[in-house]
Amino acid sequence: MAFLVRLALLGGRSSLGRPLGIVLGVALGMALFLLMLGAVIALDSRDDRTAWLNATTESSAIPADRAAPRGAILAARDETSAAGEVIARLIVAAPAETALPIPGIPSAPPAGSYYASPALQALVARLPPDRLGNRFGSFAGTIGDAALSSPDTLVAIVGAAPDAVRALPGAVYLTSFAASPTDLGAAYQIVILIGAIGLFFPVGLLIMIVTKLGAVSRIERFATLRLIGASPRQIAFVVALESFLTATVGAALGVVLAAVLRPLAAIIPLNGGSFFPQDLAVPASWSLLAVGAMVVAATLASAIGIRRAGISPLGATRAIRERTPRPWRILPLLVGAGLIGYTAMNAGDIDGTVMTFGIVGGFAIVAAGIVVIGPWLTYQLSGLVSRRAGSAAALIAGSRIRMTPVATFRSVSGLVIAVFMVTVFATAAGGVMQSLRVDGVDGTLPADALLADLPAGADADAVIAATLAVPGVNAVIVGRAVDPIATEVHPGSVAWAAEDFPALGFAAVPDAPFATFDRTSYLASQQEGRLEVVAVRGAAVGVAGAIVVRTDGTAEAIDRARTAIEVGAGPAAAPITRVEAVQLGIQRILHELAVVAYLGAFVSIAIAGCSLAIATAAAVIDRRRVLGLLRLMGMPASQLHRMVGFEAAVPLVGVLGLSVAAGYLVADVIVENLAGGIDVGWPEPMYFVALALGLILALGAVAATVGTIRRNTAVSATRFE
Amino acid sequence: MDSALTLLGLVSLKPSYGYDLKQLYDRLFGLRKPLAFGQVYATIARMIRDGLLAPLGEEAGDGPDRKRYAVTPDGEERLAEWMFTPDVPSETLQNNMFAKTVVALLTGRDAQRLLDLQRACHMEQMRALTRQKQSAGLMHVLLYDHALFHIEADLRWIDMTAARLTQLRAEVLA
Amino acid sequence: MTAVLEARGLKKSFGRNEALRGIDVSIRRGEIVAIMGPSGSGKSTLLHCLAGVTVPDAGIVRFNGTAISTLDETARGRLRLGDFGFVFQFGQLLPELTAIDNVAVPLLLAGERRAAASARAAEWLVRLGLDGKAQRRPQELSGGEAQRVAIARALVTKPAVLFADEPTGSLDSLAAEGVMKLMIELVRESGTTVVVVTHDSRTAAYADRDIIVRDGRVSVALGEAA
Ligand SMILES: Nc1ncnc2c1ncn2[C@@H]1O[C@H](COP(=O)(O)OP(=O)(O)OP(=O)(O)O)[C@@H](O)[C@H]1O
Ligand SMILES: [Mg+2]
Repeated sequence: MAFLVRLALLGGRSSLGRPLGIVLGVALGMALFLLMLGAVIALDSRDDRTAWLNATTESSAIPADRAAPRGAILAARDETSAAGEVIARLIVAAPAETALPIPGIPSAPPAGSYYASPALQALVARLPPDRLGNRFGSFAGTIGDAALSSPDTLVAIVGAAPDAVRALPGAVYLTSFAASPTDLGAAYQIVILIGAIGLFFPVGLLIMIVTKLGAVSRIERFATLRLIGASPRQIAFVVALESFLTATVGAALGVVLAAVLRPLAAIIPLNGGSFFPQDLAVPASWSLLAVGAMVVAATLASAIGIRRAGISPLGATRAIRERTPRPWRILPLLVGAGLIGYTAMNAGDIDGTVMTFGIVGGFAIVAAGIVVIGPWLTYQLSGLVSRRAGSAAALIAGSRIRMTPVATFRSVSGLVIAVFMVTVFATAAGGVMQSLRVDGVDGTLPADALLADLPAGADADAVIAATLAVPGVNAVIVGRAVDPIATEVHPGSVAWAAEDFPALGFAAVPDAPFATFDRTSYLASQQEGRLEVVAVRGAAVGVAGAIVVRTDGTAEAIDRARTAIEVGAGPAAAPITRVEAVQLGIQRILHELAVVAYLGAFVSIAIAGCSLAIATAAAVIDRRRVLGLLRLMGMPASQLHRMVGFEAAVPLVGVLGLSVAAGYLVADVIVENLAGGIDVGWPEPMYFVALALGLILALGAVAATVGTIRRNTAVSATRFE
Repeated sequence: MDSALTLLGLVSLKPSYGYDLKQLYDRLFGLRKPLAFGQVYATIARMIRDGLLAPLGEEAGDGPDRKRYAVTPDGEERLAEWMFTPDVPSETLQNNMFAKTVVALLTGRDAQRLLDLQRACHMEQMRALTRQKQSAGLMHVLLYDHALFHIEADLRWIDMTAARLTQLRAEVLA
Repeated sequence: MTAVLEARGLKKSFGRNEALRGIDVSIRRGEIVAIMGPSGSGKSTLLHCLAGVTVPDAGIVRFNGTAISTLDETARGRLRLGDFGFVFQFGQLLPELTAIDNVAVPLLLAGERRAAASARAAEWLVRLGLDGKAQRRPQELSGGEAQRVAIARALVTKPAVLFADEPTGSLDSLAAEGVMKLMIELVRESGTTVVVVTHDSRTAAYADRDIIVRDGRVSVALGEAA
């Protein structure tokens, strides 16, 4: 037996490349899997660390107009932005005797000073003080990582006088910072799971392809072993042993590789920020479990596979020609599509978990369905190709594919799946992006403008003067408080002078001296129908209640104006642009996810490209005798390359269309039903970039084998007798 | 090849006239050397004497070629014995080629040349036979094959001997 | 008569192993030549040099007066496609193609249209007595049938020279005879020159003459004189 093992595993120079390839492939797959797993776990857990930011909305918080409990910290939470980034801000006034520690900082900041997360402090340092720093006061120190979800988190804890805090909307007394983290929501989880599946497919396929490396020459060797008397059980044992060894070494190497790659992978932002490398670490027990599962699966699969290959002493009779793919292969695709369709149609009536399951499960089944139907489509197409082929290259490629549609499709399946994923995300993102577009629509806040409140007690004239003095500010338009008793408008409405309406972004001027309009619609992304403008009698108009600041549209001017307003009128002024208003909420999250999904798609396309290159090279090496023969007959090398190209192109052409269509439909169903009535439109330009990248990778993968072809088919490489 | 027993076999097919027997014999076996009439009748006479053949009936007044002959029970027995007794492979171990090679080696003559010449001669013969065989009917193809296989056997011997000349020289001269 | 193939002073070594040590041969148009000799004597190597598959270390090979041993691989490929045909002992058919497609491949490589190529391939299969086997793949053919398909493929382009290395090596006597007989008939008909390597004297007997290679040299006793 020892002899048999040595012969099977170490027989010949070429057989060393095979275990090496398997080990590397398994290691890469394992590492990617562990990183993905780490990210999924970390996404769930790291938000716990910033949960304290939500303390002001917990039920334990006591409204600021009630009596102050002993030692409670007065706090208000809001957001501000600079340079296009959103900064979470907690404004606190802590009594000297408080025993309540604020997470991440040694002691509460005194009024006029602030603590910042490292990323925020870097931003503060990068921007001139009048753009950002002045809003917070003097820097007291950084917030510790233990209180931050991500190295990118932008958080400020700002100290203020108790009265100033109490005046802010949502001010509360905190007796604890315990709070539950922001709920990701079903949509978010669905997208993350889908992304993980999308990455997992190419990784799995890569492992499958790698373990089939050099299978042909190996089968020949096993046939020889059978001829000299090895029993099928002994062969299966040797094969299982080989898989066991390579999978163990590969998986262990993968764990190490994952640890090495962690800092690199941590850079990828997910859910609003990159990771602390240690966040991506998977618990040792999980790693061990993954390694074990991989080893067991690889060992069993290869032992069963070799039995199925039916190696007789005369060679693998059954392996030469695969079973013809049958039409039942259409079924899984239909089942998956049906599941997604059904779940989405009934989205309103079913429970969130069931819906997650239905969408994610359906999505996974559709992806698997594409892999299953692929060989059948490939087979059909290859029949057409070999019948209609006008060149030797096409004829041979077509005929070969017809004999081995499963193996042929397998080499491009990663790419096909990657394209499916990209299509889903690009189409979904395209729809979401469209809904986020801020057009210059009649009756909305112009894109260059800030809308800010002037809270009671603020010195309106000083604020206006300070804002007007900011470089880049073109105009400050003042809206006036309306006496709600004198006019039939919503309390808190602000009236604007008729002559200011063009500057406010309206095409028409109202025919009353003052008019008011709905603030929410004014800040909306698109104005469906015209915004209703309500005339206000001049007698009802009072003091300045809000301002619209028109700037030159640069980020600098907007930041500076905001700083001036916040410094003059306090954070309660809450200056906001329409872009910020639109992108708050779920749509921003979806958009972010789409961007993240692209990253996943790029990774899977890259893996798929590698797989294709490996599979193509392996196929060339397996068939070097045939290819050498063709060279001998005088087939030019260029035609050989074309032939190898055909073998990748036929399955790609056959199935890419399907994956694009399936991806589009799946995205349509998901977005339409999850993001509430958003129609998917034309995918983003990024999509075409991704598609082009995929095709270039496919081409590159096949082109990369040119050297292999040349080396292995030189007429001197094979002896013909 | 025993022509007498072959004739007996032909008669066993059906009682025949001497003339027909010769025709049939020539068609089947006489490719290289047809039988003379005299030889046919002499053979028939000898077999009648030995009781293997007998003239059929009394077709009076006819010459020898107006008589039909049939196989007697003795003749049938003899035929069966011939048919199912395997031929002993001929003893050719001491043939001429072998002798020439050994002598050439002993006397320091060019044994390789001898073998090459012999080989060329055999090949020439094979080529000639192959050419003839290509236009021959199946009956004769078998005959040519027989000859070809025999020459081939010689050729194989020649090749093997050529390949072992050095060894052979050492042994002969020892 | 002019020499269609001529080799002068061919030498070829594999590492330390000198496979050919100076070979001169001249083969006339339409001639059928058998190359014989002990195993390992360099027969296959000589055939490969003559056919422009292997480049000799020294010496020259001329085909119709052109030196082919100095051509680059592309040009030799073109030559092999257009002017030479090959038959080997076994395993030379493309396993993924049917018999008829195997025969059509050289025509397609030469730029013929599919329909015309298939029609001519079918014609050749009939000539080799393979009608009814056109749609079989190599694994579904007997050794003799596969060799006949290989001959059809080698001859379908009407090559000037047919190179055969042990074409009957894996066949029994009867199948070997059938293959050789057909091959000789067909090449005589078209005047194709044949170089056949064999250790089987009955196969060699179909040739017009034989060249004996021994230790990388042509045996001198008869040599080219015969
Ligand atoms: N590609 C090669 N690499 C190394 N050595 C080679 C190669 N091809 C041939 N040889 C050597 O060259 C010599 C001649 O080989 P060749 O194949 O020409 O012999 P052959 O006469 O065809 O033998 P056979 O009748 O067994 O086929 C042998 O010693 C062989 O080992
Ligand atoms: Mg050889």
